[in-house]
Amino acid sequence: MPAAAGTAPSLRLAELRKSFGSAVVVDGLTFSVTPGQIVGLLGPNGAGKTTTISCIAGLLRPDGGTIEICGADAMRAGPAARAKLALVSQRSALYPRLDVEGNLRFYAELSGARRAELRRAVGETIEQLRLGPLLGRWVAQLSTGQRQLAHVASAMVTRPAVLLLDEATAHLDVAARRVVHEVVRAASAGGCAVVYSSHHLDEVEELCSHVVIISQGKTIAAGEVEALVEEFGGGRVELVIDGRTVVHDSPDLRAALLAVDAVERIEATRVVRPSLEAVFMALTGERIDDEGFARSAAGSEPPG
Amino acid sequence: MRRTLTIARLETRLTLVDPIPFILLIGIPIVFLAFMSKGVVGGPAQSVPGLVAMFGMFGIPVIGLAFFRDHGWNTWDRLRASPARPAEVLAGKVLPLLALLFAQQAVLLLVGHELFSMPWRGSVAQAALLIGVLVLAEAALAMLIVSVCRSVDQLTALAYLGALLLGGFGGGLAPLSRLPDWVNDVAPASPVYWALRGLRVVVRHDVPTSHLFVAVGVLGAFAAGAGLLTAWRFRFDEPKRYFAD
Repeated sequence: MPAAAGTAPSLRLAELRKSFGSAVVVDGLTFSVTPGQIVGLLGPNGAGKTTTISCIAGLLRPDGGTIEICGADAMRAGPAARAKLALVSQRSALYPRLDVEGNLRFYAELSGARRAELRRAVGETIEQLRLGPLLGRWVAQLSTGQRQLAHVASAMVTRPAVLLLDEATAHLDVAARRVVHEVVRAASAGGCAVVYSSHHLDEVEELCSHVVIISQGKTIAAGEVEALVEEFGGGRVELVIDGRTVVHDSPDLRAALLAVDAVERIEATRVVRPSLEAVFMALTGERIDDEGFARSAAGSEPPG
Repeated sequence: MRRTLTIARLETRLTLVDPIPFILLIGIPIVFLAFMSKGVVGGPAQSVPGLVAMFGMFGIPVIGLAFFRDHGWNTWDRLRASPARPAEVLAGKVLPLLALLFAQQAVLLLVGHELFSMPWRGSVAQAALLIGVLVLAEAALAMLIVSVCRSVDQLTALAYLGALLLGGFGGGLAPLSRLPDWVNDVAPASPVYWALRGLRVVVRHDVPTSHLFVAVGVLGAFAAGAGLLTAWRFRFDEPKRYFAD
């Protein structure tokens, strides 16, 4: 995805490659994120999203390609580059024997905040993520969702230039997810470049201005969400008739039903509106189920 | 340096939130002293330094667990993704534990002297030097064990059994004169042997510090050797299992 003209990207990946043994997990991934952009990294489980995020965060060493964070080569700059980014992984990474504020203070201090700046960052983050009711409680005493919310806060408190969220809302209820979306939007409005990795197409569509769709480690589409939906996501109707799925390339259910001779033999209908889901189906022939696994658009397992 | 201090403060807080392991590392040897100080050959001048060196070795699993619990909490990757350099993370985690182990051994010597009639003819500085270098050797051995263990089960087995072996063969539990000849032959391979040798000199004799150089030197060599092996073997990015899975 090219950077907007005149704006230097906060994050740039070029031809990123990573294999584990003979399995190629990330295969020549290239995209960039400018300040304020929220880019969705979209793909089913096993597509290479977490590996890509781990390479950016310095947790994995890529086999090839380059990663630039705010203009610096992440491999060479090391700590200086890492100081500009924050990672929110799917599993919360907090100290259970400390309270929420203690955790936020630690991560803010580790990122270089001092005294008044540290107090301000912690206070603002607690307010933004509405963590007031959790203060004074050990992280070990929090529910999974509360813990994940505190985990997001511990990344936001570092005021990163690049924010990496890897399935960060997986354990959150709808209300908490909304809070995270608000915070991510606020960070973006403040100039933070956000990479939002998820298999939830609706979430990516709602939050992200741009998207990189990956499958088996390769980019299959990248660009503005609206443009991709316009180009590939025209929608469709799927009718299951006598156990077979018949696809109509239009989201007009009435038209699809009228085109069928024996309406009484229709066992199920499914309307896919113009959306990222439709884009994903059009490009891969697959859909992503609730658990994040790729399924054939016809409803069965893809071959292999 | 700042990041090291930040991590060291965190580690201190985490340790003090659950101080039971350190209380036991001081309390249990005191219980041992209550019935061992007089009955053992050599009296308190043998039993107190022996238990100090022996229970100092149990600091090895304490240091090791401080690393493995970060893996269990997923905070290890967080530290790796932070601006802290690997050396800053390691130093920040180990320094507070070094201080606590130093305090543990100093308290035991003090209790041995005040409550169990252990003589004290050397200087405090000499004892501090010996304890200091012994604690460094313990930390280096702990890091070496962390570097080779993949799971917390491996760590606890190796560290506790290793501490018992080093303590027993080094003369920490019973005087070497009461042990078989072959144990006397292998005893110098244990840092406990050298710590005991130095501490016994400090408690029994008022001698110049140069009399401790051999013990201090060998303990320093243990620390340096284990440190070098750790530097060669330790992988900052190696995944470790906190629980068997």
